[in-house]
Amino acid sequence: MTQPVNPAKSHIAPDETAEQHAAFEARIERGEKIEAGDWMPAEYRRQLIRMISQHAHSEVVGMLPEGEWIASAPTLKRKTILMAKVQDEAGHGQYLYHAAETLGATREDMIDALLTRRAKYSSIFNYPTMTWADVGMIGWLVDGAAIKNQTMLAGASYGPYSRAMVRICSEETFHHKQGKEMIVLYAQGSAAQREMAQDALNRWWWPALMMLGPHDADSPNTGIMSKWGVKLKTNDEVRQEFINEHAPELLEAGLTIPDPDLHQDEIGNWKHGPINWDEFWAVIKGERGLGQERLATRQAAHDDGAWVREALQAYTNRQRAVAAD
Amino acid sequence: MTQPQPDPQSDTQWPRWEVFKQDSEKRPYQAVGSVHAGDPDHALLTARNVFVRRPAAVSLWAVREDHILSATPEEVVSHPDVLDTPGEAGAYHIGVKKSHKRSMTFVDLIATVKAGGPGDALRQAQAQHPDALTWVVFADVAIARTDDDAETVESWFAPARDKTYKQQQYYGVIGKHVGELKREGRMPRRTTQEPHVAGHKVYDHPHDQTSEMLRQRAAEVEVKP
Repeated sequence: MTQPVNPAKSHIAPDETAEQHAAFEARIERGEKIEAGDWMPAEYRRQLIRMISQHAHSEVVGMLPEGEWIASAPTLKRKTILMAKVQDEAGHGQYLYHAAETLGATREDMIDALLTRRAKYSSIFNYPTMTWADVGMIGWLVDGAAIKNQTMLAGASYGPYSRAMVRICSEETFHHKQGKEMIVLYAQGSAAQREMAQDALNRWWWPALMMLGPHDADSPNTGIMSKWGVKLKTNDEVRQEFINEHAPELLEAGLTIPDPDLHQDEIGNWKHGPINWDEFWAVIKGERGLGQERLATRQAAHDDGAWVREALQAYTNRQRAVAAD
Repeated sequence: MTQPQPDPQSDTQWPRWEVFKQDSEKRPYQAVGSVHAGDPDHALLTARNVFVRRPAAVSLWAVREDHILSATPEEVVSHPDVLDTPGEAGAYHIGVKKSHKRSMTFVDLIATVKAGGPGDALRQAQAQHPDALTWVVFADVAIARTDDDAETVESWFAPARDKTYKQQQYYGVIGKHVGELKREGRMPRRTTQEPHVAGHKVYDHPHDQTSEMLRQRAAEVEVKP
């Protein structure tokens, strides 16, 4: 029996068979993890490299907005916490580059893709950090949203990605909690502290909702990656979980969520008002936000590190020469 | 290895080293990820920075990727000649992945065998652990390892232990709204079960810190820089 096949919808590459796809999908159906050496559709590999490398880039660029505040942290305690957090983000980038490498991507190419804008990263990191409270609000909201997404991805069908997420989630929870602790403290502190916390919430609430991605109806990659066990929940489902958890906490802290339409529906879900997606796309395209500055900073760090790479290479060459003698 | 290999012409990267971490003397070494490095010392230093930012660890191994042979059951069927991979005879370490369960899919090193080469070691791994989901073997001589004297362990691994602020347990749980909302029947239905990863709760619902405590802590004033 012939099935009508819409070529635009088919994810079976010319050198792949429907049987191979069926066996692969049966493995995912059984809850098996796919490992690097296993057969997988070319499209699964391609989409995973795209997702994982973007995720890695987001961790790496994510160091920048908060890193700016290390020298200005108000106390030694906050400074050590922030340094550890930024260091973690660097480590998370490493875990994720490793996961993408198991699919055949090279580290060099991925870094080149970031620096030459072939690859994207989360647009949330193109927003400026205006005050010290932004550091806390990023921990509470941005890392809070990231954990929702990463907890889902820890269940993903690709073994190396899932393992990277397991490590990241357990470390990321520290980022979330230190931010929440800081903001709750300020929200119940002096008038100036309260004002600073509220101002940070006003600026980060909507970007945090947007960072979980376009509405399901506008998310072209969700379909096949959910069938293949990578995206286990839709953007809107993850966003709803995020709001359900954070809206009551922010209100409890005494802050005002900058959304006049926010309300609980009859089953208890917190419903947000319309999201300004024009802003989201403008930041992604670099028409708004600090995209230029962020990449310039990354490029400078890459160039400034060249002498370290060269020195290590020279040492390696010398060791080899000594060993050869 | 059946992983797609980068084009050697365009690839000027340092080689990749798989990193195995031992959390305590009683635990097996576990594959935690990889680093790129030019030499064994560089690999171990980088591995420490990437994988031992938190306790606990007592030892790290780094093994260059071209010294590792790994296979899944599917690969052994599709490429049976992997079991004949030639190489030096000697002591080989065997690692296996035993579970598809999230957070339990890391490869643990569980045995050392005498083998005629990597293919033979893989064959023995398969015979000893026919139900494993992945087998990994490499020669003992291929390992770059941290020293196990007390001084090395202290200087490499102890510092992470005192940095308790990196642990989520360091932060009290904050707020009291959840209990109140629940009592009033206004708490949203949970869309998923409480997420746990690696035995840790990924997210703690705040409930047991009182406002009084918070007010006291707000007294330790922190000012805008």
